[in-house]
Amino acid sequence: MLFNSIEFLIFLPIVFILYWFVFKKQKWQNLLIVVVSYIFYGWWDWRFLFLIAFTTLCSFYSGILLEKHNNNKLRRKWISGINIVINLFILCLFKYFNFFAESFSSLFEKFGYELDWVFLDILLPVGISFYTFQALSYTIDVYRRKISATNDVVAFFAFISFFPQLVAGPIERSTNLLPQFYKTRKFDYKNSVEGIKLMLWGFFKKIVVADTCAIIVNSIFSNVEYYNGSALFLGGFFFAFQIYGDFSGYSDIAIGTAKLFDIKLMRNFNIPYFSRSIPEFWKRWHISLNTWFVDYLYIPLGGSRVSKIKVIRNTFVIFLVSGLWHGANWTFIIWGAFHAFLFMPYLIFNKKRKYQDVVAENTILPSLREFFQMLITFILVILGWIIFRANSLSEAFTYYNNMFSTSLFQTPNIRGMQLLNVLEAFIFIFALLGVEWINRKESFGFKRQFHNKLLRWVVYISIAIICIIFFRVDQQFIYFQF
Amino acid sequence: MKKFILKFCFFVLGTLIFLLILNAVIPYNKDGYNRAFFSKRIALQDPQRSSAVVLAGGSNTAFGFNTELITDSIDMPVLNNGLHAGLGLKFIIDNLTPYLIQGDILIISPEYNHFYGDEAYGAQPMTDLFYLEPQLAYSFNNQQIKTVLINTPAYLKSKLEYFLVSVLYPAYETVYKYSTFNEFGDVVGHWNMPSKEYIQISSSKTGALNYDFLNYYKDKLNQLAEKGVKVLIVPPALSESSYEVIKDEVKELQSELEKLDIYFTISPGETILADTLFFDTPYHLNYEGANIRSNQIIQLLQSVN
Repeated sequence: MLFNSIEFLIFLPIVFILYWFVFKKQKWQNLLIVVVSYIFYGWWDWRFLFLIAFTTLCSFYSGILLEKHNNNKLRRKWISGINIVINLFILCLFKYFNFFAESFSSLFEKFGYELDWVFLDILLPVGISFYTFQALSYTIDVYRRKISATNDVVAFFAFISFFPQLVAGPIERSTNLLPQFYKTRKFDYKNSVEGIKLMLWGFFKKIVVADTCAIIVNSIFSNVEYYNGSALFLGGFFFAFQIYGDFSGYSDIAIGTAKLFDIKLMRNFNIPYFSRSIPEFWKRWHISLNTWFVDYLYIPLGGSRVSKIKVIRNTFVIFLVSGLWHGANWTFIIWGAFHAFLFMPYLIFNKKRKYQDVVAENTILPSLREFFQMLITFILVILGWIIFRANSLSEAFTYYNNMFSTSLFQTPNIRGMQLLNVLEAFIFIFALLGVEWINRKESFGFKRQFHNKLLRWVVYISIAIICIIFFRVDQQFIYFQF
Repeated sequence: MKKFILKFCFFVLGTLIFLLILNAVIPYNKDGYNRAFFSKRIALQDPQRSSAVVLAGGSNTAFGFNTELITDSIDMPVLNNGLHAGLGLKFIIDNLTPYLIQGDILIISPEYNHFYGDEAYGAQPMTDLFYLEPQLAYSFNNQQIKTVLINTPAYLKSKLEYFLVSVLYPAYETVYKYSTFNEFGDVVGHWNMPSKEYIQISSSKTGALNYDFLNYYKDKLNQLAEKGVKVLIVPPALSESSYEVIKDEVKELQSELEKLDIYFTISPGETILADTLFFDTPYHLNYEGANIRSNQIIQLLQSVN
């Protein structure tokens, strides 16, 4: 079920009423969450439910076994290892098998060997990477004794399948989310109002910003030969806001929805396009995934407490794996490598932790230096998004080739009704950046509110109307494919 | 909790009221392209009319003919009823069949995507017409009702965009308007204009073949035949470059249609024209292209008579 669908508009109020008025006890509320989450997820394809149930059960029982063999280090290693292998095997089978088979096949073909690979005709389950990583975090946390294994199977199922963040994150840690299913939840007016505001802002980002940009982006990326260099650059620019509006919009809706049920999810985006450097960008973009990789991959590899060469190696590993996590395509891996290269100077010169604060913290506008730092970082990010968006490496190279031509300095050859889309997209991007700039020190982009009650209502209703008017049929979220 | 629910209901209600006000206040484009549906229907509804050749389809039909040329070459009146592929082939057929009479020749030129997914059940253009004449919904199936519901925001948006463009940029000129049609139902506003650069299509498939609709389509064609209407199914005019890309899809579609006893009167390859004969999309012919296609239809009509 999509957040931006009529089904969800009906589904959410029903779940809300059942949750607070019918299933008032904590255990019953957990059970309700599991049932409605499975309905939410099964809306795509009911067959996916078996897979998520299997993943959940594996992780649940591995937790129990880890607790049982609390004093046997070797057994604990084996148990967590087997569970990690099972989870990664499922993920690889559904997501990466065909990719590796094709890659090996074409590699062998280059040496004159025709390999008769068996390709699997399987459907990629929506959000498999998200819930697999969440399940893995639990096993590893129990193994590391950061959290006790749970005996409450319903709470555990609720933790893995909690519908707001099930298909596109934030990827929650067991240490944060699971304990919330043990406690009694209480309805909190302020929290719920904030949840609705977050949802409204998320819908604005997705329906208005991302989907408007998507019209232009789809046209430009599917007709690279037609457009001139400046139009292609605009394609990259709009894709930057499409993916940001799409993904951070989803996260905002998810966090806002969870608040309605008195569940607190972690922040996933923190004004990434106001970053002054690439390391700062990565601290602010898809935070839940990046911190996951740091905690469960980078640190076990030695993190930053090893020789510089090893730190560089570890950083490359993180970026390459992060790229691969996004999809079974070389474009994602190269995108990861591209960012790893951009990261290197900061690592070598020990500057990666330079920008921990919010830009222009004590001033209204950024300094000229900060402005140019943000601009350069943003342009580099756009260049990376072009590889990310392209369907293949050759398509990406053609894109770059056509973009970096003399026509880069000509007027973009965007005409007709598309010009109106471009104008709309610019207006909404400007509004998005403006609101986020004003709220850059807050916990989310729409936190501050007008003191005048009437003005506040006018703003909320206006945003709702804009979201309704700009609603388009069948607009998927980009990150569902991951 | 009570306060939260009340405020939320107030918010929803406020939003709906403002939307209704917005819809009432913003005028619908009086020179809107889709309004031609009603004027085209008047000619068909005339109870005194004699048998005619009726051209039906989406914008490929509206842009695709010089109907006056066809009328002058045969002994029957010709009505170009083509308008917009986004009306959906079901809507197009449903709104023609009651008015066709014995002796009429119906030339349907569906667009290839009409047979895939839910394309036959229309999109925003059908929604626009529904809001102009809600009685049209009598012939709608559930899928078309859903189409209207989910395209209502797009309908509102198009009204708003028209309003803003007319206020902010009154000099804006387009061929996509009511006044661009001539008395035969052809789009002629672009006939004296040079062709524009346009993007070729990359696929016509928007989903799986819709067999439910194909069966409905077949039944409708049979009903028309029983009524004494001669039906000719003609592939749309398509630019050479686009056809090159979707050639295999078209062949596959043709063979699937033939399995259901639905045949193109002339083969898809014969309606392919040079890229230079199109105006702004690979489906919209310019003046020269419309004349070539019209001559093709004249030959066809002479051969079937």
